[in-house]
Amino acid sequence: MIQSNKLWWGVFSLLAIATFFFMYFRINQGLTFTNLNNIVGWGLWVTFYVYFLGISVGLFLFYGVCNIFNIAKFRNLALIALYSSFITLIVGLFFIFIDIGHLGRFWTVFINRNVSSVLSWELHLYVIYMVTVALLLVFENLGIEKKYSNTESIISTWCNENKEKVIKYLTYLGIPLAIAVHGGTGALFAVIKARVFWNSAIFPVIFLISALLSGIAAIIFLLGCFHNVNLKTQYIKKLSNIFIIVIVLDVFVVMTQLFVHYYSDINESIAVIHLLFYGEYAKSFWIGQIGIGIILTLILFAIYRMNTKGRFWILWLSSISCLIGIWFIRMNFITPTLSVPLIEGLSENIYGIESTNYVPSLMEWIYSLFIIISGFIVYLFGVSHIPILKNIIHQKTKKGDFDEETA
Amino acid sequence: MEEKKITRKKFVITSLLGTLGLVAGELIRQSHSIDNIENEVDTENKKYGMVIDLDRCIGCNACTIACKQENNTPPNIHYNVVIEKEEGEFPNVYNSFLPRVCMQCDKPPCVKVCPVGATKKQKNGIVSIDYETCIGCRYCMTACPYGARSFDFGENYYDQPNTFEASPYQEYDKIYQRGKGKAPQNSVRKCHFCSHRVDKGELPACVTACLGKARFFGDLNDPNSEVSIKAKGSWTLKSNLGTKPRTFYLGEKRDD
Repeated sequence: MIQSNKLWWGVFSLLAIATFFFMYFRINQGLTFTNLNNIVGWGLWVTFYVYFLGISVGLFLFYGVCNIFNIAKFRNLALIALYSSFITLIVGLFFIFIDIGHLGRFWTVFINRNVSSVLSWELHLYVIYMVTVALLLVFENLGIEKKYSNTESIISTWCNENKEKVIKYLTYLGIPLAIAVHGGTGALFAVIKARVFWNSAIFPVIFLISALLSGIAAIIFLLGCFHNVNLKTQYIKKLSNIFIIVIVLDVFVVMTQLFVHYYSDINESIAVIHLLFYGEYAKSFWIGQIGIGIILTLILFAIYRMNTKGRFWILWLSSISCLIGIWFIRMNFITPTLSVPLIEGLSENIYGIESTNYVPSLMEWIYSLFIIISGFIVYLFGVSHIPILKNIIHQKTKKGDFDEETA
Repeated sequence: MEEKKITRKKFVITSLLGTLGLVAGELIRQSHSIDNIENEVDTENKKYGMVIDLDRCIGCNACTIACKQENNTPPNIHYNVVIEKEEGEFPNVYNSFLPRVCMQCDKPPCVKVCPVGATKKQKNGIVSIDYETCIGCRYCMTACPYGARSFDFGENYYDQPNTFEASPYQEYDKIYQRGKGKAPQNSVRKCHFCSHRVDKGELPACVTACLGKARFFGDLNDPNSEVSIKAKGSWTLKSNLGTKPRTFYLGEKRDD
């Protein structure tokens, strides 16, 4: 991993310059370069926001469970999960930031509150959750490197003495917060009575289960990326067991949503399902959500389990295809619902076209890629500079070194 | 009886919790109260409403043009739309028209969801948007069951706004002029019953322009007003959603 600070300065300067140009263009042009319109008001960026928030929540729940039940064998993986959870949270925040019309007024949500707005609550909880994750990250790093613990102030002494306790209580706070934040995202959509397809009680549950799935898939993905985190094959098998259980659960809730709405025969619901099954979003549904997200994931998983050697990279590929599939679930549950006109003929009247199907514009993709790449660079920086992660990377573990510790 | 000992730790924790509770309570109290969106019969104020007689509508779109002119709305933003639909089977085919404005609901879903309380139900029945507060998140657009809200992307009919587009116009009680990044650009906009005209005692532009005299506007709190009389026997769009619209329709009920 790159340690040279000069190189990082260079990279971050370039990133800052690029960000300046991207933001200049965005502020100057508003949202005109997006393919959003007055029928489909939320698109790619909102999808990415929900997606990254889901991954963050899933990863944090993994960390929380490992921490509370003191599962030592997953300790290193849990620390990576905590850090990844923080970065994905920041990435998600950037997506929602560039999506709003008045970027400069973003902070006003914290002074102009509306108690009846789910979004208002969601954003407040989001910030509290982010602070909790950041604090946990700070406390996990306390006392790891000498240079940080040299100061003898009352606060630092107290923090060092009570480290374990604080981490425990912050985790207790973090778990319900994480559930509330992502359940809140689901509720954001579910409370909209104007959109029948969203307006169901299982919608927030789908969001939560998809978050769990993206969390566990991301854990397997990260396990493949951090070669030093050696887990015994039996523990990887345990992880893969959780993975398959959550996949089944996710498929179940998604199918329930589709089945109930298909069965109901309500015009708007049927219209959404038609768009998904054989309309404009069919490719995204059949290839993305079903093909990659479920079938390919399951095939790879089956190969992994049937292979007596249990090659990890197959499971790793399976987790990647699952992560792609979850992105499609998010996309397919957001934009097709908005594409269905609220009053028959409304879309024709405004835009002169019968249906307004949303396809993200090139600029939306470029902005998304920029945010993701920036997030990745910051992630790498953290990995090479944060003491606990440095420890994990540089530890010269013999295979299964810390597996001896039992939970 | 054994006295309960109050340790310093307990005292500090209790007072901290108490302070937190007070702060939380105050924050909630200061937040936008949802009381004002409840359907209270406020007899002291005028409560405006509109009745549209579909049997009289000839689909000329004079209302649409009058509205666009009055509110200087940019492309793809129509406060007023006349939804045209071909109905029946050959040879008995006819066109039906459904003019759609903002319903100015008494229980507006858009007001409920706004994260910054930029959109409010006014005492005169009109649902307003504060362009200075709106952050442009477009949550209200997804929440409105009538598609009455539009986002101002900042587009103009001409690359360089022509004299008309660049001319000042009024919305609510403020005067606006089209210019890059200036309000109400990047905010959500919608029909406001021409509140600036109503304040001056005039009728909304669409009502004045209607050729077939299909629109009636006035105070629904006054039982003797024309609009109150016309509203009897009327129906509303998507009444099952419980939004309690203040825009009523006369004539054959349409599928929502």
